[in-house]
Amino acid sequence: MKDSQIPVARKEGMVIQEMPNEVLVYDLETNKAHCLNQTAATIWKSCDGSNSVTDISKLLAKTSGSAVEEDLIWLAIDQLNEKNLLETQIAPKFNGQTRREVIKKVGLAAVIALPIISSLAAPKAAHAGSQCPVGDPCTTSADCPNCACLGTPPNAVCG
Amino acid sequence: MSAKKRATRNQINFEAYGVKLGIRVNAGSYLEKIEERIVEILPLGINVIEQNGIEHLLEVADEKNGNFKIFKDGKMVANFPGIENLFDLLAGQIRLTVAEYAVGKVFLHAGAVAWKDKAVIIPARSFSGKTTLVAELIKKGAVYYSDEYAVLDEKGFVHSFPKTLSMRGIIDDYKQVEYSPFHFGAAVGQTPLPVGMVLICKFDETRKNDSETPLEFLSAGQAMLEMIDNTIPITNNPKFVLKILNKISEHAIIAKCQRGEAKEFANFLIEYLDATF
Repeated sequence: MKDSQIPVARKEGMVIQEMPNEVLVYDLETNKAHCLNQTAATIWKSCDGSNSVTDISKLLAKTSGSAVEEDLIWLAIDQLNEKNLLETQIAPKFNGQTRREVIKKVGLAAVIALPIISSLAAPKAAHAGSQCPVGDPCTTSADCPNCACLGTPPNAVCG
Repeated sequence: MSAKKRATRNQINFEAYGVKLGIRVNAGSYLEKIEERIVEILPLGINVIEQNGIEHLLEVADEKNGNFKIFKDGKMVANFPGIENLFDLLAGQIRLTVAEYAVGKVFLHAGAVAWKDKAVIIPARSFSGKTTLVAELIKKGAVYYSDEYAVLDEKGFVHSFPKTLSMRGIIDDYKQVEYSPFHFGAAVGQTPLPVGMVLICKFDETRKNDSETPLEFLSAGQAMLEMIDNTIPITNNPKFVLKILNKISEHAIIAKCQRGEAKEFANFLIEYLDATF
């Protein structure tokens, strides 16, 4: 039986684009794109279902050449959970500290960069283009590229 | 692509960028006007095809009460009063449909110019000052590629989409007025070019264009996110899109900025490009 505290990176339903120091992950289920910095990407790739958090911190220490606290791994796992990039959610162990306290503590001590995942909801075609976002709520015509704000707020829509 | 076209009674059918599109009207008198604007809408022209070959359909419904509706593949995409709005909105839908389903190309919502045989693309949403900046750059000798779409091929090269420039701020802040690139003395790009710079830039009226560089350089991953935010077919074909955008992020300078007045910023940018390309 799998240890519930062993993180497993989700790979199904995603497009993964590797870059020299980052990984771009596109989630086909949610149409969200996530950019993992080098630390987050290394940790995510180490979540192979066999490595515990302790193992991952050791692996990261080996590749970075400096000691890595487990809190840093938990910070990454916390974000991976939030972005739905793990097979199953794992409750982060911050030992009674808040996330902010952990970031501060790990940030001061860490030689490597803190794990960061930046995300973006992919735009619908109409929103990426200049075309009118028909039906979107608006308050003025400035909210409605290529068309007008029709009706009276709060019920006004682009059209 | 040939600009020759042929109409059935209430429908025209054509192919552009591999997209097979029909446009149907419920009042025949509009068809001629729409046909007249097709080449204006898709500046490299169209190929007429048979009706049974179409994969997407735009339908215009004149409700006879001054109201119009546009349906795309059966789904209403616009509902508006006034025939004066019809052609602009339909033109936008035609371009958007082609951009969304183009075969082997990625349409990035972006201004595009060339300097020293490298493309500078400016991805941005509407109302960010994209066309104004493109206009200032071509006035200073940049070659015009587009004020709306950077069309990227499989190598990540930019192809020209030389529509007229849609300038706002002449009648009011919203209504667009069309200008030929030749009005600005510009040459129009003829050959696909590699991307030298991606500039994610937004007009900020409080910003002064001082001598200090306003550019913030981005990592490849951050650049990909910024480009995805302006990529038309991302949800249709993410694998292909990411492959193309990655090619660009590997080689291009990618920077973000808040710029002041376009004229001054264009001077800064040309100096920067001269020193960098």
